Amino acid sequence: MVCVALIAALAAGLGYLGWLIQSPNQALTEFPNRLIELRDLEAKWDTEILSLQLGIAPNYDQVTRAGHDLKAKLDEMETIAGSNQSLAPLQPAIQSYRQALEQKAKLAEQIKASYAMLRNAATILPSSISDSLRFPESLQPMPGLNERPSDLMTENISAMMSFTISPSPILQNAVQDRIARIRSLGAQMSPGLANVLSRFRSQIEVVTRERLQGNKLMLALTAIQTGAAADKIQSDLTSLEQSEVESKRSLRDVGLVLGALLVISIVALVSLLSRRFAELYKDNRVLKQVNENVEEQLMQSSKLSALGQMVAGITHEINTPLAYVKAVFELIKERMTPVYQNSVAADQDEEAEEARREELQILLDDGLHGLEEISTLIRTMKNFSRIDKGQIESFSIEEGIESALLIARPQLKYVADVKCEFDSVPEIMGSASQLRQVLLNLIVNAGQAMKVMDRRGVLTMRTRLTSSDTVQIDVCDNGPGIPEDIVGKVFDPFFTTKPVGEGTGMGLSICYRIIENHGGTIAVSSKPGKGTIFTITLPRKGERGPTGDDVPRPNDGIPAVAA
Amino acid sequence: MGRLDQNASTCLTKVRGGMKPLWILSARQFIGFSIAGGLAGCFLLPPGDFARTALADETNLSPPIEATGTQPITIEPISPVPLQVELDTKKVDLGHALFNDSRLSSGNGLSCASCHIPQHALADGRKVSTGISGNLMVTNTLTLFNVALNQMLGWNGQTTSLQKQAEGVVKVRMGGNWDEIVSTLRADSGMSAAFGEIYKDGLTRDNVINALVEYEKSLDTPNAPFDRYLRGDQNAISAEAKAGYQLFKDYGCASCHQGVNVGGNMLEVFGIFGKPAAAANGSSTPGSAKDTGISDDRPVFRVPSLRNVQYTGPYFHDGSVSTLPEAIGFMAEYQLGRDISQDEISKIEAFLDSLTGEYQGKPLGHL
Repeated sequence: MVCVALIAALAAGLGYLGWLIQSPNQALTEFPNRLIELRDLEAKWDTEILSLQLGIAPNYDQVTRAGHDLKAKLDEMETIAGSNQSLAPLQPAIQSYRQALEQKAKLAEQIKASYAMLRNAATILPSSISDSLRFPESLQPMPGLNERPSDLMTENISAMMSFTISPSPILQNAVQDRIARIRSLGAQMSPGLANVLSRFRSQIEVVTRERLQGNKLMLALTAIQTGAAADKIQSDLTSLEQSEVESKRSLRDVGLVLGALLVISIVALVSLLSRRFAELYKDNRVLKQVNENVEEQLMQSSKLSALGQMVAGITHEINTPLAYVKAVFELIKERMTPVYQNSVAADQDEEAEEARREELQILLDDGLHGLEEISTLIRTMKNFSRIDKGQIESFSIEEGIESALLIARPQLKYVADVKCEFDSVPEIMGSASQLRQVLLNLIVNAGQAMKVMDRRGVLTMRTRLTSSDTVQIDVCDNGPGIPEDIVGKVFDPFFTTKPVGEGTGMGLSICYRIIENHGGTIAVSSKPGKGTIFTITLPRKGERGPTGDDVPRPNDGIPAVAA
Repeated sequence: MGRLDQNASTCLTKVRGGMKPLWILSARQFIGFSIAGGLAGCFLLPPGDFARTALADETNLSPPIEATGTQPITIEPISPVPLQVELDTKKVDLGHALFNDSRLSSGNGLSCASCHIPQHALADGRKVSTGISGNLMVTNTLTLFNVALNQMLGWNGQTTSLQKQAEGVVKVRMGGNWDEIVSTLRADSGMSAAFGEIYKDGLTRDNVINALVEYEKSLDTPNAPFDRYLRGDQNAISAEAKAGYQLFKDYGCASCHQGVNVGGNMLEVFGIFGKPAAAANGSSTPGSAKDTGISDDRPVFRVPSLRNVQYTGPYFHDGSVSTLPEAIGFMAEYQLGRDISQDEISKIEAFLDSLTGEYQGKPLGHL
């Protein structure tokens, strides 16, 4: 059970691994493309910002859109990395890129604003100058100075120009000085010119301020490490891909290990199963053996029970000769008494003496004969009840029939006449006791069957040798016969027509087995009203043992019952 | 070399006629002006723009290439509104219904249409709108016409997606609770059915916003007279408007009010020259963009769109200026540092009027 579970688990694990290895990481394979798109968008944005700074962008739509597209792409990538477990290690790099991007976006806004201011202030400068020229006093030298306001404005513009070209601190100071001078002179001007000058001054201030700012922003822009951040994402991605490959590889290794384990566990399972089967087979054989033993004992006990049933009859059989042996002995005893001796001695008649001697002789013979009968019966019973493993010996069927008839005589005496039609069949090889058991069983059955008839029956025992070298034995009776619906069942174990307590129903089935073991057949033929014939055929085994008696041959035992 | 040189030569003529010793100085002036002009032209101004400004006959604008992602440089700073937008009409109608639905304010009785009124060019004609419980809002309501053409939204320009803007405004300005709104709308079987027809996952917050945004995208006003002019119809606008456009560019208004929506794509300082009253609170002015790095002491706002501007007054973030000529003067003063004449203001106004487009085929003035 554990093995099966293990195999199932390993197989499942292997399957899962296979699936894992096979399934491509969708997000991971697509992410590099997105990264490329991201960098393209950033490059585009950079171009737009540059064109803005160079003054070649007609408006800010392009640069703003480029920035927004880039941010949208980054949002998309963040969402993907956020929702995908395998891309989680990229998050920090993406975050730092985002921060760099946000800084850049902020700078871009500043650049846009600053550039617009710078441009506008510069645009207006010429008109400031032309406005100032409307006032004649701008061309007049100022009180206390050699300069005219227009000259001052020119100086301012030149200083601003120089500064614009090269925004160094020195030039910045130059510009500041000039502006300060204009401011200080404002009070001396007419309101109109002072106004113009004031505007002029603020525009120069804006230009210089925004020029410096523009520089600062440009530098700040180049300082932002979006490139490095994108590179970081790229390298993280590459290492992620590598680790993915490696993990796939290690998965494959694990898969190999699991596969090996699977093979091992299958082998283990197979060996376990085969061991179990071996055990089962052994147990099975033992059980069979036990079964045989039990059947043997069953047979034995049925034999004994059959025998038991015959005890009454047999007792009677024994009693009869025993009684008259006893009578003979008592007579002899009486003859031996002194009274009788005296009466005999008194009588001098020789013929009477001779008669008395013959009478004694006859009595003694009868007695011996009776004893002989008893002894035969007992020997027969002893033979019959002996448990033996059925050693094969040569056995005379006709003798067996006769001994069976002898044992069954009490049951047959008042029931039927016995007819023997023997054909002088040769001896066969088989288990004598078992075959005797069979014959006795059949004879007893016949007797029981004929018992119910009103008339005296006839039991015919027939033997003959058939053409195929088998011995055929018929046990015929003219009892009531066996009805058709029962005749097929008579050999079934535990099948009996007798009431409970009389008969086990095992008799005929055991006979069947015994005959089968001998390689023979037993069959029944019956006609209700006419009678029944049980026919046994037994093969005639040609071998005969050297002595013919029960010397056990090692490999020749027929088991008591068939397997 | 341009206008600068024209001025210079005028000066020279004037000067030469008068004082002899001064021609040396005038030469210096001439040099200075030339340098100024030249350098200004080369380093600070788009050369193309300058050429256009000086040499081009005002009536001979060549049709601009419309700005797209991959096209080369366009010539004009303003490009026309696209004539066609691909939209799902079912979603637009649904969005329109939601636009007028006060259930989006979770019981505050406000809908988008409360402040974006069609008769007022989808603004409301007030300085500042009243919002939840009659409390005044912070900034002037902006028009929703052409809102999809803006790359930055709101007075502070910090929102860049229409979806985020819709989501936020429902919560903040209308006091709506999105979960409550969704469940209320779901209980409306007609609304649920309408959503079920269009969206696979039915009525969700994202789908409500999606429908609203689709409607917003349908609010473009193409075919303004100026757009037709840009496309080559020389008679689309009056000569005054053309002159106004020229001034618009020359004076630098077009530095900030540019792009397809004549604004809406950058942040700028409000009050570059001087300090207007509306910028009295400096960089913490409510509604302004904070922490942009653009200015420490002055408020920074997103540059608004000037399309349909004749109908979207009052102007500026606090609605403090009610007429367009005033606004133009204001901008010239505080953004450009210029003193412009009434005549120039009228020309620019004529130009700005020509930016009014058509909604569903009808010019806005006739809605």
